[in-house]
Amino acid sequence: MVKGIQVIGMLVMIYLILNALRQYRLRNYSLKQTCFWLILWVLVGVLFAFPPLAELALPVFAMQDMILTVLVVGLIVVFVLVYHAYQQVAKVERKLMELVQNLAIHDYLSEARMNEEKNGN
Amino acid sequence: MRGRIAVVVPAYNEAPTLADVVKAVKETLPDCLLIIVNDGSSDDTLRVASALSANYSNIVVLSHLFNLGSGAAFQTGVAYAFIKGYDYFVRIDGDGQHNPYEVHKLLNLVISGKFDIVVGSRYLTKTGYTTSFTRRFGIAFTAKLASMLTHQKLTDVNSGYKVFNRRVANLIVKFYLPRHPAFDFILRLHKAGFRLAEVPVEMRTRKHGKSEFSYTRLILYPVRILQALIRYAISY
Repeated sequence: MVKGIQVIGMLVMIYLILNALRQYRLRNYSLKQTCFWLILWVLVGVLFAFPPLAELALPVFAMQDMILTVLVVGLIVVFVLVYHAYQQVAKVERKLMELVQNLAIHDYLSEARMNEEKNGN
Repeated sequence: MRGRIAVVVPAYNEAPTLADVVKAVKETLPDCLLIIVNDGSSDDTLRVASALSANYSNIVVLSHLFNLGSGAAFQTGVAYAFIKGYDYFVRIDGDGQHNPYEVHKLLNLVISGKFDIVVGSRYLTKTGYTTSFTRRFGIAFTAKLASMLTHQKLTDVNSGYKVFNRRVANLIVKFYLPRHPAFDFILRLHKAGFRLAEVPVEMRTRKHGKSEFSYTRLILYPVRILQALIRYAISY
């Protein structure tokens, strides 16, 4: 029998799959990113639809409890995603910092050139 | 030939102290290029800096769109002076804590060619400078660690008061990580073979404004130190 939590989980996964496709269409995601998210959400969606499948992973993680395995795998995935997000944010922050620094110098040089031209005329 | 000197003054909300700092710098080094880097201040710092540039000769005012931290402001100033071909670079903070009249003590050692970078230390001799226990502990710990790794006695690797030559400036423009502690950069300098010295300087108590110290920084500090050690071990 299908439980309420399974239905909610599958609906959320369908939403996330559609959202990944939409982001690809809007060119916010690259093909690689879209594939990553699609695979992840489809896998989680399949697990919601057929929970006993998670039992296949038990020997891989040397665990006996299915819920614990799902939790541990979920935590590892979250950790990897958070780390990836942190790396991306740090990269963007560095680029932004460089941009602001270059802009400060560029603005001053442009203003100085304009003043020189004004005084020259 | 003495070489051309650029003084970089990072300034974040330093309107009340900036005029005194500029006056002292210009009295000490009248021919220097003084670069004030307004780091996205929310007070009158930019207006005060612009007024000062009209009153004194050879003052450049660079302005960040928003606050990036004093390390980034310092790097912006150094990058500008480097592009303009300056030979010696001085960093003096805009909060009035550094005494510009002491700059020759540092500058002479760099100009003589004995050292590539000279740092003004608050702890080389007793100056009466006090700060919170947490900061004192952090400074002492990083100084000990840096001393062990560089095989020379260092007492204040976090001091902002420093003078260096063009070779060091090149490294600052290319590799300086503004969000990381100065400790990281000291290790990089050491590994690159630069000669570093410390000179005792007076450090005044801050009269206006706020320190960059925050609890977020305090939590991140050990992580940054660890990152610096890993980088030192594997990549520099």
